[in-house]
Amino acid sequence: MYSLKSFVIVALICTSLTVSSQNADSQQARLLVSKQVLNKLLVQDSDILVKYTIYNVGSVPATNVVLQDSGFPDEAFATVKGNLNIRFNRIPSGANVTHAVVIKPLTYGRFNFTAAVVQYKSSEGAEEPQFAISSEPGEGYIISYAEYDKKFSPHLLDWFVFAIMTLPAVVGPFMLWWVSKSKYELILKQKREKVSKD
Amino acid sequence: MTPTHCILVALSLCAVASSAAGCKYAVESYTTSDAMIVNEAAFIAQVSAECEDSPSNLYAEVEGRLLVAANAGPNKYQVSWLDDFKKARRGDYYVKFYDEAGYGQLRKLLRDGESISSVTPVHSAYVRYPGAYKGVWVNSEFLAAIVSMVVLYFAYTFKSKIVS
Repeated sequence: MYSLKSFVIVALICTSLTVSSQNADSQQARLLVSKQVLNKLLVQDSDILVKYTIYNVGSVPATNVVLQDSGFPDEAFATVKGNLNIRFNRIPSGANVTHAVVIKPLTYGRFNFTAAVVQYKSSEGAEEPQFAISSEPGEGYIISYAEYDKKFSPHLLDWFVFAIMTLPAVVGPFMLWWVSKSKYELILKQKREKVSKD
Repeated sequence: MTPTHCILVALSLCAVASSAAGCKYAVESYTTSDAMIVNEAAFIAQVSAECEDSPSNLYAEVEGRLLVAANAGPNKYQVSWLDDFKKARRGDYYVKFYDEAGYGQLRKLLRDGESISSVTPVHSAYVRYPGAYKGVWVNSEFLAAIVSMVVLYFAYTFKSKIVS
């Protein structure tokens, strides 16, 4: 139920906000941006891997590509490794670049993973920056660490405690039997000794 | 009890070769290694350069893969790549960093199908991947069942010995 298959299957949505004439369009860089959360489970205080892929499907290189993701507020997430604001000086036409960030949720509960924003220069002479919005991974439920631990930990300590709790029921009768057995054997031995002496 | 110990932080090790243009590079790396939670092994190397004239673009080559580093601020770069947990090899990954000129040469050599060892990287470092935690080998429930079976077996054989 917490599976993030829906997160992984990403629809590439690209929005180009400024569209000029057809002619100029053909000489422009066009970026498609995907944002994916590559997790099976979202667990509090554990890694969340976010992957950004930028494809340039235009005919010219995109320059000054700035990727900004402000979808992870500081009070709810900590960055484990990687940067959420980065810049690629140049993405050639037909090329793609990937970027990965590992973050850690500090709390649990429902969270909506929103889109990242990419700003770039669509051609050498472009004065106005072009904006693109990445795909949205959507909503996910971050489970608490205690809940995750309950489900997936090996529970070794729990089983050890259980074993100790069952010990009286097993060892108690055994000890009773053992004591009576050794007593009986002692009596038998004494009797035998008596007989042999006689 | 918890598999947290398996979520390992792999700090990059030593700098092997050092800068050409007087730049001092430092690399910090991280890999995701809990296959119970994450789908893919991510390798992230954060590079910081200490010099006046740091390269505007930094590139990396790791095991035949060419990567473009993202600029993450002044004199800061980030290289990241992902691999399947099944394919990712445990151990040290040798990452070579190149500036614009080196990368140009590298691409040319690769296009011609020649060896790339003649191009000197501006820096190189190791990124350690400790392997992934894919859960326990044997379920503890299963283990407990086996242990109780063994106890039961001994108790029964003992009992039948006494009775006979």
